[in-house]
Amino acid sequence: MNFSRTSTFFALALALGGCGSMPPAMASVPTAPQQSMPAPSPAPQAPGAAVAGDAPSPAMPTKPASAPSPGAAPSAPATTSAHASATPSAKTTADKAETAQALVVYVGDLGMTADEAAIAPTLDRVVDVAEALGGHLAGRTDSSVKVKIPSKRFREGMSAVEKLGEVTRRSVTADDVTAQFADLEVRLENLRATRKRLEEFLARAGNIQDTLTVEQQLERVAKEIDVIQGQLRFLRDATSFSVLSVALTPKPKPKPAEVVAVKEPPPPVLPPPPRVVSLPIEWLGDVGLRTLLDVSKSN
Amino acid sequence: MPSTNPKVDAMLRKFYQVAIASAVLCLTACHGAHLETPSGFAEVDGGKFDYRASTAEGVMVGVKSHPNDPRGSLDFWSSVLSHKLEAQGYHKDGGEPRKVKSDHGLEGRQLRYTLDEGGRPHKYWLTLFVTPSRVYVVEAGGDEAFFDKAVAPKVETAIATLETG
Repeated sequence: MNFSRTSTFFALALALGGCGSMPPAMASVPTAPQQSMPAPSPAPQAPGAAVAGDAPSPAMPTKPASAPSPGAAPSAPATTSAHASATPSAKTTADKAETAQALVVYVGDLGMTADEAAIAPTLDRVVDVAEALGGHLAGRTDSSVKVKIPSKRFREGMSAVEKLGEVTRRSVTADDVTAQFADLEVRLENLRATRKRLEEFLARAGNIQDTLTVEQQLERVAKEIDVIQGQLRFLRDATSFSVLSVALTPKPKPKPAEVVAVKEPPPPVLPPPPRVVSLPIEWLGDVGLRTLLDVSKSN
Repeated sequence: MPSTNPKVDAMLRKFYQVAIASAVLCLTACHGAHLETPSGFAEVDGGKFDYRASTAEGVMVGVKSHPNDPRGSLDFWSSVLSHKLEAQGYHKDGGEPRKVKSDHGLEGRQLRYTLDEGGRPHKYWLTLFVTPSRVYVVEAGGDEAFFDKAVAPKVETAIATLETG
């Protein structure tokens, strides 16, 4: 009898271990072992099995715990199919995605020009805009800055930043992680359900061997829960804040005006001086200073 | 040859007297234009001039007379001579020609010029008097350094003393 119970228990544990990340329908707990299990007895819970921080995501609609009640699961026959054994509260990834609000990670990239002396002040103003919208600085260099802005106000922030300079490049990418998020939540719920059942098995374990086996499974499930919760936190953060990168380049300095030699118009062609016809008067040639001052005898 | 008729002799004597008087008058009247020699000047050989005088430094004043042929007015001869001089590089000095008048009441016109001669600035005054038959040309000039305020008034005074002959 004892051997039979132990074998059955191992079979159950193996089944549970293999379905840790499976939907509840696939990881439905066989009822036969439960029926053969002794009445639950209080057993100390392994410290590693304690899972903290598994509160539902604020970004996703929460729902009541989906773990089947201890009384309900055993009532199902052992040969129940996956769909038949699914509890009413266990939803698929598709269901989650439909009900969840779209979760999008925005990544904006702006290239702008500004006066060389205004680059640093402009970067400061970008940070000011982000902080005014509830965001924060995420990185900065001499000519660029990366800020995080609440996703709900991303568009508003980008418009405000665009006004700080002359935009030369603009790009926004949107990564929809709604399905990924929903999948992780479903997996988390399933793991929680599994953990709960293992805790129930642990409570019913009649010997040390069974207890150790169940605790090992509990520890494994708890680790998986931690990993998924971390991934959910990451996605939650990524969707809560969008990243806006702004790179500033100095405006090209205006070239000094080239001095173009302006060709002066050619001087107007003046007509020759009035033509004076010398009259044939001989003595006119003797009028003048030279003749006057000539005191030679020939004069 | 003496005539035997006393009346004829008397008439011949009268004729000779008149002829001699006319000749003397003509000689005295037709010797040419003349000026009173200003102080500081001395009359020198005229050459082509009817009269010419000079200072010790060579400031000259001279007079020539020519037939008024083609017959022209004072304006005509003033224009002819101003064109001639300006074409030779003379520059007007003092603007428009000046009206002058001889002591005998003959109206004339004075053109004043400057001219670089031998690298030195010179003054040159040309004064015209025109009668129906003659054109009197009074010239004065010399180095600007000597044709100064002391000499110029004497020249002006001498010009006014023109004797047309």
